[in-house]
Amino acid sequence: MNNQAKVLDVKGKPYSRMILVLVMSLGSFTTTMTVTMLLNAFPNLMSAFNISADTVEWLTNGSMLVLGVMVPISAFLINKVPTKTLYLSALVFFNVGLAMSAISTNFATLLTGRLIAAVGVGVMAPLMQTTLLVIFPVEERGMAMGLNGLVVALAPAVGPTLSGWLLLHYSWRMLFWAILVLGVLVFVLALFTMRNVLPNTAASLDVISVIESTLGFGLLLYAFTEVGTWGWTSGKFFVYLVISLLVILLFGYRQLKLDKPVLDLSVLKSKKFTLSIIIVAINYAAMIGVQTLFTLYIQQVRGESAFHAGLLLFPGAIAVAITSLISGRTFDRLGAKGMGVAGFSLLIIGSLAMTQLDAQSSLVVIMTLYAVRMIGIGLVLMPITTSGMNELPINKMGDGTSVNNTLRQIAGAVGTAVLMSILTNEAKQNLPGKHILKTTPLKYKHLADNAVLTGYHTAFLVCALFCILGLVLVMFLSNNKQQKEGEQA
Amino acid sequence: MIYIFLFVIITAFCISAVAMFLNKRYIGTTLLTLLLVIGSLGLIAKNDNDHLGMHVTESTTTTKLASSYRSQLPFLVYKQLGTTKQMSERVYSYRIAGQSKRQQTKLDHFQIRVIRKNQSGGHAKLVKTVKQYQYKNNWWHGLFLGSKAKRTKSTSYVFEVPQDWLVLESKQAKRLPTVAKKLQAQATQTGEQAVKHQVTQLVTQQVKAQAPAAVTAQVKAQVSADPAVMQNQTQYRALQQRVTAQVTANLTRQVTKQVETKQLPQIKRQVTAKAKSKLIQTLRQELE
Repeated sequence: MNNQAKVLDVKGKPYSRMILVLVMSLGSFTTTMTVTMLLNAFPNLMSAFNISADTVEWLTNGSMLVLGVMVPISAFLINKVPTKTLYLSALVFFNVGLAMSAISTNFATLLTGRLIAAVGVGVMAPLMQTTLLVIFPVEERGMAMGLNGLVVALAPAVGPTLSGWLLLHYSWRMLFWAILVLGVLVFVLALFTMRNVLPNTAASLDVISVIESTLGFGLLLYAFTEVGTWGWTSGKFFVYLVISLLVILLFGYRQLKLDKPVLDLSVLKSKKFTLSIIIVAINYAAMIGVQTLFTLYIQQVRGESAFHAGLLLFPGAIAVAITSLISGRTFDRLGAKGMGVAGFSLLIIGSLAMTQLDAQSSLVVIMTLYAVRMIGIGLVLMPITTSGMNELPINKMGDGTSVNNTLRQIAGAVGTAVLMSILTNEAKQNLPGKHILKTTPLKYKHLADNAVLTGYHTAFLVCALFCILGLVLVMFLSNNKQQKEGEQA
Repeated sequence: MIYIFLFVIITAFCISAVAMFLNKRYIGTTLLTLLLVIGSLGLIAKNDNDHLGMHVTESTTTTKLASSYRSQLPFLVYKQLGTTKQMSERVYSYRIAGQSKRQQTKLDHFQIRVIRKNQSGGHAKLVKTVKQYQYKNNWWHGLFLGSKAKRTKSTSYVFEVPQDWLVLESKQAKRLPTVAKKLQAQATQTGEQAVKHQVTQLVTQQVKAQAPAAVTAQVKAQVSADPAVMQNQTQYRALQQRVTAQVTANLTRQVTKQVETKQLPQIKRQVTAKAKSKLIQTLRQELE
């Protein structure tokens, strides 16, 4: 108690650290949960707004894109804006976005609300991480980061299960209302307990860079999302692809020229760091992409409810949380390469096994395959990220984290878009002729189901191919353990 | 068990993969555990798709059916999907006798057949055959514990329908009440006529059979009462005519009464049965 009473904010006023951490954890839990919670509402939303799978995926892909673009911006905001103001503003964004989605009567409003909420999420996650690092002394940091890790790992697992349960009893709107209640509660709690704990500097933000990155990554995501409708060989796709890549190149060039870049790309000069963030990006895309696909598969092909979809993915989500925890600790002693190899092997095998699933597959098989893949994800994500960070000097760590997080989110969004486009494209190509629907609808349904299944199988196969690329890249990593021994010697 | 084995062996694989980069001795273990992981996933996939360790069992159930919808004329209804008349594009809606809820044939049925039975009357029957995959023995079941233990391979339906039942498409079934009403009105009319006709026929027959004897007896009686009639041919003929008319009228009245009390119900029954079977035939021609 005595110790706690001495904790002071930037204005020298005392505050309770524990209460602040609990409120922020609740906030993080609430916001992180929203990222995955919509996944199993997709079939409901598709029929509610009469939209296709590659339109509805904007709800998560768009959010991920916003999260990616927000990474460097939130780093700037954390420096510039007082903690309490920033946290409360982020919550306002979050809650207003949720409310907008909850009352939306068309898809555009729903998506806009979702993107506004994502802006809030994009600020709150790094804000909590930085705050924890600053307000706790080194010896207590482990506990604080552990709590943060628990929240970050558990929320995505609980999200689909909770939303599935809500969807069992209420319409999709209830998802937003339920989270909104939590969001408002966190806002009220934060109003009384949040303090300005981080020191501010007169930072500046290069607006042109922000526009360039938003436009570039946005167009890239658009191209890979719409390619499902356009087809992979359409000229439209290549035009958007080339334009987006040009804008991204412009953004990159500007970052190298600026004195204080929005995203410090100089960290990419370290080849090992670059290699590690590419591996992590592939891994993250493999996780998010298949999570989206799999939730849809369980509901569309397998015909289970949203609630069951949530339950089926729960063991996998727990598996990735536990594996991440263990692999994170093991890394310090044994190195990342072995875990990378094991992780990608499991990912490849798991993805290939998924191509054998059909409409009659046992639930236990579905659950197992997902869990096997998630163990693979957990083995790669933490150790390779850390091994990449270790390649950077201490003063570049923050920039490295920003670059890594940005790339990871963008890769997650684009990867999902690519897989979903493969799904819709392949399904559409194998779809039987419309005349069959007229003459023999039952036969048509059978053929159409098979076509959709082929789409899923192709998408899983492509995912396996990406994981093979990941495995090859891991082979180029040096084992940190041996390197560390070399340094010590 | 294989699912537990899988996760144990995955753990072993992960550990040896990490160890492999510290000490080359573990390469063998890594490869072995990797093969075991692939092998168990292969077995799981084989069981899931090709029903490894399972065999096909067949069970047939026969149930009595009531008319799909309540109707004077019992019928079995189906919905024809699409524009063809293929059996595989039909959904039959049937009601088990004594139940109020209708059931439908599964969309992914294997086969549907409708057989006309020779006899009429009574219930229609449904013979449903379900083929299922089941584990050959407890050993296989234990190995894949947690997976679906009973998997439907195919369902086939055979409807055995008596002659006086209708088998109607749902659109036809909707038309049934009006068409039946129209035909029934016609049938009642022709039925009434038929009954009348039969009664008259019967009466005339009996009267014809009984009249001559009665007439002769009466004439004889009259003659013995007044023998003078015999002398006059004209008078005699007039007597004969009068008696014949009287007897025929009396007999007709008598016989009609007799026939109406004794034979009319039977005639009516016969006529109705005939009319009904004809009605069903007409309905079948018109609707089916």
